[in-house]
Order: sequence, then C-alpha cells, then structure tokens
Amino acid sequence: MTERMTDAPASDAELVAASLSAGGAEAFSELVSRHKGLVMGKILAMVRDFHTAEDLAQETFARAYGSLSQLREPDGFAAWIAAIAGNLARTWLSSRKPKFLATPAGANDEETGREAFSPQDSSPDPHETVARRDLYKKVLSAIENLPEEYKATVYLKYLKELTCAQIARIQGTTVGTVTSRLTRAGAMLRERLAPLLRGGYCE
Amino acid sequence: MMNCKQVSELLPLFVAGELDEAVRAELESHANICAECAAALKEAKAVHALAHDALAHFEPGEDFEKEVFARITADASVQSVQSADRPGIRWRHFYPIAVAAAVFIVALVLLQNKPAGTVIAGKLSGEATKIRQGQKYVANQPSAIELLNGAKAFLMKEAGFSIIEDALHLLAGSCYVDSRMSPRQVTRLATAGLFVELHHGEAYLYAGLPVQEAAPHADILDAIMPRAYAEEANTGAPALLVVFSGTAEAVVKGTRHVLGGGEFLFEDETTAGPRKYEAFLKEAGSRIDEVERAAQEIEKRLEPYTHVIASYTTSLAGLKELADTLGAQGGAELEELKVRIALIEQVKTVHEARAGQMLADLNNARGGEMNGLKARVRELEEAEQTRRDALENFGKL
Repeated sequence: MTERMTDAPASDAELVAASLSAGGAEAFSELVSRHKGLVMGKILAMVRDFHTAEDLAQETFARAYGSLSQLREPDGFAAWIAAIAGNLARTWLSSRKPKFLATPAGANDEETGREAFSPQDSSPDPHETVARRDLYKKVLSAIENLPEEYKATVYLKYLKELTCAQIARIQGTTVGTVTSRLTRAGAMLRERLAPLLRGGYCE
Repeated sequence: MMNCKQVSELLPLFVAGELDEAVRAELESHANICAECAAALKEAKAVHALAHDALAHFEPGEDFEKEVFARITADASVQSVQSADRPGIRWRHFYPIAVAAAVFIVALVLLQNKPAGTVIAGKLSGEATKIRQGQKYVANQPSAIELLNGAKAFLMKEAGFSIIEDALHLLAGSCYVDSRMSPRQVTRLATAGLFVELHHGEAYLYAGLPVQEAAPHADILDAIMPRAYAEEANTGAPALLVVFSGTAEAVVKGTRHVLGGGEFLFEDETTAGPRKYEAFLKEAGSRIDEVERAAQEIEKRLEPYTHVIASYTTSLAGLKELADTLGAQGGAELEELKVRIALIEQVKTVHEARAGQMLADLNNARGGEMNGLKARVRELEEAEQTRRDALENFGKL
C-alpha cells in the first residue's frame, strides 16, 4: 500500500480503483483519512453539532464505500464525497428528531441556544476555551464559504500540510491549478479572517 | 526588486512554504524595508496558523476510520442502522430521558428499513442473512439472492456485490440472473461498465477484474466466450452481459443497446469481444474484396499480353522456318528477315518481363495476403461457431 504523504502520494483516482478491487480496505482507509476533515467541515457547517456531524461523516464514507463503483470520475472523489455529505446533512436537518425528544436538560442542541459546536475539549479555562472555539467556528465557516473547488485544496494544504505538487498528484490536476487555487483561497481567507485576528489571536 | 503588489499576491504561497528560496529571500528583503508589507506578512502568517489550528480542532480523531469500517462491515446490528434516507443513530449521544423514545425511533427505522434482498440459498460471508442497501458483500461460495422484485441472482464463488436502490451491483466475479419469476417488472443490474435493465428473462453478468484476479473466473468466461475472446480475457476481462432469454437493455457509456436472447455485449464494444470480431470480419471482408478487385484488374491487363506473346511465338516460329528455307542463298531477303526476327524477339522479351511482373503481383495478391486473411477469417468463424454451440449448451443447463 502506498505510504501516506510521501513525495508521490497515490492519487484519489488510484485509491478509488484500489478500493474497488479485492482487499481495498486499506486504500479506502487512506481516502477516508485524507478527506475526513473536508467532510466534517462541510457537515459541521450545516448541522452545527459535533457528535452528529461526526456520525454523519462516518455514514457519508460508509455509503460512499457502498456506491464507489458508481463514481464516474474518480478524479472528482473529493467533490463527490462532499456532495454525499451535503445530502446526508440536509436529510438529517429535514428529518430531525421532533422537538419533544430533542432537549433533555443539559443536552447539547442548537435549539437551546447553548454551545453545541464542540469536540471533547478539556482545556482548563472555560472562558478562554469558549472564545477560542467561537473563533474556530468562524474560521470553519469562512472556509466553508469558499468556492467549492478550493475547499479540498485548502484542507490538503492547511490541515495536511502537503505540497502543491502532492496535492496536484492527489487531485489529478496540474501544479499550476493547485497553486492558483491556493493563491486565491489564501487571499480570500486573509480578507475574511484578518478582522478576527484583531481579537488577539496570534501564532 | 519586488513591488508591494507582487508581495501581496505571493503571500499565500509564501506562508504555505511554496516559494523558491530566491523568491522567498526577495520577498523578505522587501518586507524588511516596507512596513506595510511587513504587517501584511505578519497577518498572512497569523491567518495561516489560525486556519490550520481551526481545521485541526475539528478534524476527527484516529478512531474515525475504524468507525467507518465498523459501519461498512456491520450487518444488521443496531449500531449501524442503515436505510436509504436516514443516517445511523448512535446511542451514546442520547441522554437517558430520550433513550426510551430513541429505542422506539430506531425500531421504526428498522421496520421501515426492509432488507434489499433475502438469502435463499448458500451462505454469504459475515453470516449475513439480510442484504442491506449499499453494503458490500462477497460470496465465498455459490450463493443465491432473491431480489426485492422476485428475481433471483445466482452468484458464482467470489462474486462481490452490493444492492443500491434495488439494483444489483456486481463489483467482481459473475452472476446469473433469472427474472422470469417477476413478469412485467424490470430487474436492474450493474457493473462498473454496464447498466442493465433485464425485462423478464435470464442473463449472465460478468464484472471485469484485474488480470491476476480474473484467472479463477476464466473457466466461466471461457465456457461462454471461447477462443475468439481469449485475447481479451488474458489482458484483463471486460464486463460482459449475455442474455439467454427475454430482452435486456444495457447502457454502456451513455449508449443504449437492446439485446435479445442469445445476444451479448462487452463493456468496451469497440475494442473487445464480439464487436472486435465483427469489426475484423468486416475489415477482412472488404480487404479481401479489394485485393480480389486488384487481382482482376491485373488479370485484365495481363490478358492482351498473353495473346500478344503467344502471337509473337507463332510469328517467330514461322519467320525462323522461312529463314531456314531460304538457307545460305537468301541474300538480302534473309538479312531483312533476321532483323525482323531480332526485333520481334526484343519486343517479346520486354512484354514477357512485364507479363512476368503482373503474374508475380497476381500470385502475391491471391496468394500471400489473401490466403492469410482467409485463414484468419476461417479460424474466427470456427471460433464463433464454437461460441454459439457453447452458448446454446449453457442455455440448456
């Protein structure tokens, strides 16, 4: 199996093909690990509850695995998986549990107006944590508002810290395309996120 | 020297570590003397770090992949309730008061979530007795599934499949489908390359596999597509549909084909299988015609030469006889005769050479190429006959 994040990572298309053949679990696992952030981000921006989002994200990949053979353009795996995630999140939003079941005391739910958008966080200072989490939520939604084709690139660069050449290989595109996406996405993010920095966030 | 506009454009790549050393240095030296760009650089770095931290904060942990696979491999357990319109619900996210109600909901979901098919013979891997939407299964031994519309699919050993929205997706190996039990209902089948609507009949479906994995299935393929298609089987078996009875509509790469009993279709209709055979026959046929026409053309041109050469031979014989009769006292008349004979012999030699060349061309056309083509056509026709016989016998099974 291809080693993760070497100079020449397997492309998404290659991993899709490998996933479809016998013993493709490892290849699919690599696809999951590569794009779970993208899928989580997409769903989180819609359902706003971390646990539900994680649940739906897992479901997204499980379903994708089942219908992988229907994927017509293996190069477009990221866009495809994001679309499945979007559909699942929309379905969840429209068929959400009725309100009388939803909010036992203390439950995390956006309808209570309480903080619902958080992974397990054991930071000692609750105020600092809340402020930071709030900031991260804004960052995430700024990323989610980027044009669709920039998002996968942003995740692979900012989160996975891959080089443009590696990203191009993964996406089956040219380094030039990745570089220009990164340039534009970077400029857009700076424009949208710079105001948040005045709140004092520094590296 | 870099200007402020260039610096601003290069900042995202700079902070992403995507600039060459020389460009980096130039940008940094500009920032050293330009307070505005220095501030922009600091801001870009901070934004980059912030985006990284935020994404890392929400990135699912290491267990995420394991959970995904638990869902994929789980059979009808409560933890991976799967239905067409509802994601799984995990218990631990419910608070105690909600649990009773949640049980009720999950039970409802389970009831609504009818299995996509029921195993009626054989046994599938993972002790699964219900085939669920979208999950992948592998038949470790020949197995049969009754599809929701009543049609039966008989899976050969090691056939991989899943059922998505009532369509049987054959991922690997082969299966035989009998839809005669469900009149008027279309049975939907698919492989990576074929989408098939089977209208009340029987069909055999083969999903292409990588070469090394195709070997165990070669016997099945060989029984249906002997010899003529061995070439394709060796270089990676293509997806294949054989219709025994009834009709099937198969969509291959956007093109719709309507097939009747005894007909078949390969995934790649242009380069593989029967289409290739047909294409070869057609091409060989027209090439044979072409060669034959050329040969006839040569024959037509050769004919007058043959006559002329024959007449030269006759004339020469007559003239030589006359020369002999004239004998030594022939004088001037004999000399003139000799000149004529020499001239005719010269012309005859030239014409014989031309005729010889034409004859060689003719033999070459009729012999070499044409014989080769005809032999290959005969071979393919025999293979096709074998295939038809095999198909007929397979149908009788």
